[in-house]
Amino acid sequence: MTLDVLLFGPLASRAGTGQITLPVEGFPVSCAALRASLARAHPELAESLPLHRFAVNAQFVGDEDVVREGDEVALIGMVSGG
Amino acid sequence: MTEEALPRSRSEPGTPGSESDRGPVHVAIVDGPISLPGPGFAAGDPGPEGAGGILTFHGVVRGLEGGREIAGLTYETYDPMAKRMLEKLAAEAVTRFGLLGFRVTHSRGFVPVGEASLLVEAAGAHRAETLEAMAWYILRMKEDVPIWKKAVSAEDASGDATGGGGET
Repeated sequence: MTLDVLLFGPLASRAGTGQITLPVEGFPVSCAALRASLARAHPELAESLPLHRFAVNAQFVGDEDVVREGDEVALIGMVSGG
Repeated sequence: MTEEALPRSRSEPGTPGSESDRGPVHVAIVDGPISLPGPGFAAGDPGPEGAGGILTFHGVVRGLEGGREIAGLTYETYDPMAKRMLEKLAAEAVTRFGLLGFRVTHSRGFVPVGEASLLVEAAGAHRAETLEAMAWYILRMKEDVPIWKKAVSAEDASGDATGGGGET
């Protein structure tokens, strides 16, 4: 099974893509597990990953929260609106 | 620009799904620069009943970023989360500071130097709460609303966006 994670702004530039597809063992999967999986799959993001937040279905969540099949997941780096 | 206009009243037309109308809170994301003075309180609208202070903030794109001349900024938004977060923070500002009205418009896409990319208006019974709310809202927006800007160099203004982010 896989899960797509959306990226934006400088994070997307660093990863070279606006969407990363991660392998997952099943659902639900914790955001902490996703963070670890991202670090393994994309070492270029690993160093800054602790600074970023996950959003699930357009809401910020914590590492203790889980992602279910069909959820929209985004990794939100430092924002710069205004 | 294609503007998802802030409503002056509920009867005025708007782009479906583009504007919010949660009581005293109005939020919109528009394509391109924001026309000033804008569609809000400053455009001759006396504001909500009982308002004694109406504060307007324009965020305007500067011509220099890191000492380098730019043509403008391109704003990327994560939709619909960006608008939801603008709304959530606006509603919190109204509650926290006891405001009578709060309107926010933010740009997406390219905004040339000298044009506005952010318009925030706060209406309150007195000036103090509008000043506090404005400072609070803009700080929170810059922390929590998923919008990213990228400088577009003068050389590349007619082509693809390049360069790093910057502050307005």
